[in-house]
Amino acid sequence: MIALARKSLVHEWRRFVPAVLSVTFSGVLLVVQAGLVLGIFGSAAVYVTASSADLWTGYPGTQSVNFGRPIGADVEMRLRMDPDVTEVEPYLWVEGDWRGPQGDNGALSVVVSGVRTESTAMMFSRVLSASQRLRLREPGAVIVDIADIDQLSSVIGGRAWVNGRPVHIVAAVAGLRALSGVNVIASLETARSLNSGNPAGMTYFVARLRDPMLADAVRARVGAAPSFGPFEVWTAKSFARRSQLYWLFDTGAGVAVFFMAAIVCLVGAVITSQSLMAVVAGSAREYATLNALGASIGSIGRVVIEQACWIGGIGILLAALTSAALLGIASQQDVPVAMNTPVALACALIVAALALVSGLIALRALMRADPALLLR
Amino acid sequence: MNPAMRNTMHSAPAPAAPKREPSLQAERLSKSFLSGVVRVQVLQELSISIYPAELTLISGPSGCGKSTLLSLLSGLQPADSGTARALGEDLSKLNKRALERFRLKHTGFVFQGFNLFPALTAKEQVQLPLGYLGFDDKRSAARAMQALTEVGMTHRANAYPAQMSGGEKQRIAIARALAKEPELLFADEPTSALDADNGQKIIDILHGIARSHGTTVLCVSHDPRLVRHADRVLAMEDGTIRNDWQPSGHAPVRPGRAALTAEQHS
Repeated sequence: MIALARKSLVHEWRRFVPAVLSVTFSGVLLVVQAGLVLGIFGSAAVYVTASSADLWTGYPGTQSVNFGRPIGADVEMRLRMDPDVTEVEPYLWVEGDWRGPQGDNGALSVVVSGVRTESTAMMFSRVLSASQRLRLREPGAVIVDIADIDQLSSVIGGRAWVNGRPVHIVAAVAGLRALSGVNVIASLETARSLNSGNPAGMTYFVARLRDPMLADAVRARVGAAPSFGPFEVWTAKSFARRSQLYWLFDTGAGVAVFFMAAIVCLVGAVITSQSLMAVVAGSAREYATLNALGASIGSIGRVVIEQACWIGGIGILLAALTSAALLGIASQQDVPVAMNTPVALACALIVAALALVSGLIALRALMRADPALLLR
Repeated sequence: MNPAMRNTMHSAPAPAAPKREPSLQAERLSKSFLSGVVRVQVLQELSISIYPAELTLISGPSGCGKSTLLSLLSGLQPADSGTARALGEDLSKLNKRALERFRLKHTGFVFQGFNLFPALTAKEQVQLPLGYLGFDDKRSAARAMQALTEVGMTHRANAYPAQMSGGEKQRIAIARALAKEPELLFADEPTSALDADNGQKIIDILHGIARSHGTTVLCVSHDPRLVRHADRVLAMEDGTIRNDWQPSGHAPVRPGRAALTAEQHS
């Protein structure tokens, strides 16, 4: 069988460029949007994802990591009692007002994370080096995200005030930006000093396990201990997801994101199908002749669908390359973006479906391929 | 009036000649179209029989209904009333899919616009419809080369339409129609877009096909140059056949036509 669809695509590629470009742009828009969503909403769980703990213990029903409330110190004991738990450390969440050295710019809401300063500490282990962590031992020492420095009206080595108490920036790192606010890391002691007047007690206890694969089993075991006061245990993965999903769905932001994605798909499908229809209509006389010679409209339709599939495939490839480049640039510029295989595959699937639907819509143009119209 | 025409129209049937079955038959065919708010009657109860191994030319002024007659007899359009039979099959009884199958198996078409796919070589153009008949690539390639030989285009087998002249394109279009070895070959103004020399070649090829393959070639044209090459000429006007005659130089292939024509005009 003569590969009419493929040969036409190769020989008359200029006619197919608009359709390929519209698929590509739809793909790029979807991927970049998904990348931004993953990056921005993923940052809601930066406290969990930037740390190496396997289990998180916090106040029961905590929807997102930023809604933590103090829990009893007994919970630490309960965790340590479990034979599979190898390490436990507290994490203190303090909300504060940051004032820069000028003092006249008004206060900025920040989140101070009080963490252990030992080199084996789990909190923010993926962001802080051992030497940076060591420097937090100085009273009032804090570490911030390099991208937040301007916002904090300060410099590395500069001084500022949190809740009226002096702090100084000893280092700036990347990867601390979060949806919930500007992050400041301090030692537990510094954080506690900034938290004066608020209820005592740690916000979370995080634990490392002998084997991370045991997380679910240990979570179930530790969680079933009501005598240690109110607390709930989550695996790091589920707590991160819980936090991200809260921001994505419970704040209404998710609806906006999906609405945007739907608009992208709709516009993409309309433009792609219109471009394809123009291509099909341009060959209407040839298709009509083929139909006169007995090729069924169905089999001619398959040529159009095959072309749509090729256009989808090429569009996905171009979109993947373009998106990868764009996300790479964005990431270099400290724009919160992220991507993972399932989401990339989902985007590719949506774009493929978009191309296919466009092909089906473009079949309408075959109605113009009536062989009787070829007779003069 | 042309003496040959007069002679054919008024001569009595020759009883000694063998009688053949018509391959195309129109029985009281009527067709009208809506033009704006006005309904135009294009064909009015037209009856005619067309026979195999002949090049039958339908001529007449624009709008006389000659292309409509071709489209009804080839199954491209349904008639409002009357019966169109092709190879004994009542086309009005066939649904769209069955009509496509009928056309695939039995009919070839040549149009004024050559309608070749720009992306395919001459050989691939001819191979394309054969694929729908279930030919594998090897068989379709062999059949395509055979058809290209018949139209004298083997030397251009690998050329694309953009590299061909109008005459060459039309010969490829004929080869495409011919490769299926159809019993019925319909040509609509096949020479209108061509110069005299190429027009001559095309009509010679069509005539040759009728003679050598026994194909029914029904050609619609207002090109007067074609008349002397046809075996039979049907002159149409206002949706009816006014004259049915054989041009001089062509011996009557089949008797009894005058009687039929007279009946149609009565």
